Amino acid sequence: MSEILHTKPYWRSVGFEWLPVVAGLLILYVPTFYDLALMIWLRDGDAHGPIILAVIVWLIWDKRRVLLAVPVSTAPATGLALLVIGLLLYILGRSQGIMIFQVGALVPILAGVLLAMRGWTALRALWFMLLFIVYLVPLPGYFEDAITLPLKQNVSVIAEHILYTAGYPIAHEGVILTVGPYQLLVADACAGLNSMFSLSAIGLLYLYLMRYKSWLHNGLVLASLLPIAFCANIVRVIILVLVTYHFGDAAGQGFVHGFSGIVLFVVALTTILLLDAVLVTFFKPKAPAQ
Amino acid sequence: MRSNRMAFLITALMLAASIGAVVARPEEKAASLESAISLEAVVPKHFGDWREEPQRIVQVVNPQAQDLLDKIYSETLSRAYVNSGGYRVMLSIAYGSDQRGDLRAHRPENCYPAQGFTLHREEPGHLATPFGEIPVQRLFTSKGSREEPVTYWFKFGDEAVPGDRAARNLRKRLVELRYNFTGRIPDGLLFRVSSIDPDQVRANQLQDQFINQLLQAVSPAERKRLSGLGDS
Repeated sequence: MSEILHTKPYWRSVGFEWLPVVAGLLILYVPTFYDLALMIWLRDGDAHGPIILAVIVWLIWDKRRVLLAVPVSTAPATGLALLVIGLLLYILGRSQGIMIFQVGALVPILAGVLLAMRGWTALRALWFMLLFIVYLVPLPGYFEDAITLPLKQNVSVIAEHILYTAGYPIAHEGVILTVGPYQLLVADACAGLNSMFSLSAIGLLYLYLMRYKSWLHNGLVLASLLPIAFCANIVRVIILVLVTYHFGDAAGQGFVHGFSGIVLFVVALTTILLLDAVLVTFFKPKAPAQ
Repeated sequence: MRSNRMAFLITALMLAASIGAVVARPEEKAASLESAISLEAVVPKHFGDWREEPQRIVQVVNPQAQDLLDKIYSETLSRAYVNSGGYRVMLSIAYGSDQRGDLRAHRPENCYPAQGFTLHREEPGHLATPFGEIPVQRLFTSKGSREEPVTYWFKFGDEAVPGDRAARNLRKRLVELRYNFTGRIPDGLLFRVSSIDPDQVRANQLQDQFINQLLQAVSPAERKRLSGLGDS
């Protein structure tokens, strides 16, 4: 083993050739992520950004053996073409302040770099990392608007129905819930779009790590992610309405408001894990010894 | 190609892209070229047949929404006016100095339903003024027994863009391109007038009259900034 290592130059065995590439990536993307951090990550409910970024770095680190190995065959032409397309997209996005292009360009850029440096093997090994970058891309405003409003309306209506059936004096007008003497505005953050976003990211990561063989199993968990996030969000709104009704406005807007977000997450994650536990018993491999 | 050479080629391409992005970036906001627009001072409290009515009900502002408004709009103005016949018109102007990407203005078609209003009709229209026509959007909304016809236009860069969604997006792109070539960032102004009135025809007539008298009362430069009409 050590003899094989010594047959190639030292700098290659420790991956020094990656240093300029990493430096180039940092020059391209440190400003972008600085902007992202100031503009978007600080926003209420968009705090998942840095975590996603950390996960992506970890996914790359996890495959470091593939990246450091001597390339068997590379695909320089395809790789460079992808890289140039990505860089053009980056220039467009960065100069015009279009975040979706800037961050989205990371996918062709990284794919191009992998192909040019290490070939298709590396691309196959890191496909999930490339897919996960999608979660870094901030949703374009018009898309967010188009989804958030109907979501908010539905959350308000369903929360109202459940609480009304339970005997509470509640009514809704648009996205404003009136319960007893209090008025609650179902804000954008309460729409649950962000929780759907981050829960589906966690769900995908979970499935990737579990490496289930059954497509049906994977598909069922995937399909359940968004409905579970939606229901958990309704639970969150109901909790907030109840807290406000019974303990006053201050209680509903204070600590509980932030805490209910965590509750939402725990409820949703637990539900997903429970569902998965049930599915595992169904799809248990029959003869693991083979 | 040896992989260390490939690495340097990739890095060189990345550096070029990084420099390209900086060079291609328009830095000046259009607003900073002109003297800052102060809506409070520009819009007179008394003009033509209309005078400002001090708002009796203090609007409860949601702090979260206010925070977002402050980010999108550099300045907002919200006033109610009455004419000699006691007809009340609500005026709301929002100005944002940077209308790119996430910072663009919100469309009333979205805002009204979010506040519990039902949007019954939306149609593009043309508002005639002595200075030219403004492409406006007419909405008819209601909330319970409150029926509220709305007339609004959106000025993007230096021109009012059509209310119709497809036509507006195309127009906005063209203005944006023109601005980019001159290294400027387009600003935006949302001009909205509404009244509580079940009669949409009467409401629109009085709103048009209100807008006309307002545009006649301000200076040509301010008229240009508010409506995109005339030469500044």
